[in-house]
Amino acid sequence: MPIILQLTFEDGSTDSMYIPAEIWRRTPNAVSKLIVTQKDQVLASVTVDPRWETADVNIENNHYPRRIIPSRIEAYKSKPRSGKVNRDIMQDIKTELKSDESKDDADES
Amino acid sequence: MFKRKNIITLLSLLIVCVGTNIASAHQLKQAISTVLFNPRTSNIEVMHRFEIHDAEHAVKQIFDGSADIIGSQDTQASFAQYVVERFAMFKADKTELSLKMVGFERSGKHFWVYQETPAPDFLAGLYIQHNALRDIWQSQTNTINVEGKGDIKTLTFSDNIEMLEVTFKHH
Repeated sequence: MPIILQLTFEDGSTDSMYIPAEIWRRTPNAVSKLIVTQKDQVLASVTVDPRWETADVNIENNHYPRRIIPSRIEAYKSKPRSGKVNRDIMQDIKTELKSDESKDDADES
Repeated sequence: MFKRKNIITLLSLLIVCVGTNIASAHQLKQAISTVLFNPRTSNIEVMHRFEIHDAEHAVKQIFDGSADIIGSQDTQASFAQYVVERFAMFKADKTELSLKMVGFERSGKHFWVYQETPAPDFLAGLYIQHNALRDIWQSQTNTINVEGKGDIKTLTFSDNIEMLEVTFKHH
């Protein structure tokens, strides 16, 4: 499977790298790759497959420096996310309005 | 003439059969659970995952026709209660581990039920029982992955299996 890398540099900029699956051809168990960056770009952290696009059975070792991945129950107990990311529009349809009047109606009257 | 009528009846019967097969094909009648030994909280965490389509039909059979797993919080709570009543873990000496219900949630096309208990200091093995939905559907298959204690171990509850066992190696 290809290796998708997200490189984050010390100045906050990010770069993504897509290494084709052929990298595994000669050594299928482990591979190494030297990444050369510009002199002023210092690497701060690396994430493998940041968007979960490959069939990875263990997502706990995908971050350098290491990051603790909460289990599902830990995530459930933590504070729910604020904002409207991942909102379910199908469920929103069933949400009852606070008042029947829409904004346009109010303007007219 | 009589023969042709027979053939038509047979054909329509066939169509009805095929039709019902298609209609029921969306239900998987499979559930997957994870029993996770979490080293950070030193708890045993149990996460049951049901297909929402299975649960939709199940609650109508278990409770009544108006039960609604998607919209009704009450149905979700009683379904979660139904699940925890049918899941049990026993230590090697057959004493039951008392699991605390953490909660339940609907997430996309899955319905999750969470339970946890503090992990005992020494555990040679576990006996696990998982009968949720197997009492209403004969074809229901429940799979459990035991994670966080060496290699992942998988238990599959199907047909007439009542209890399964995992053993842990201590080094």
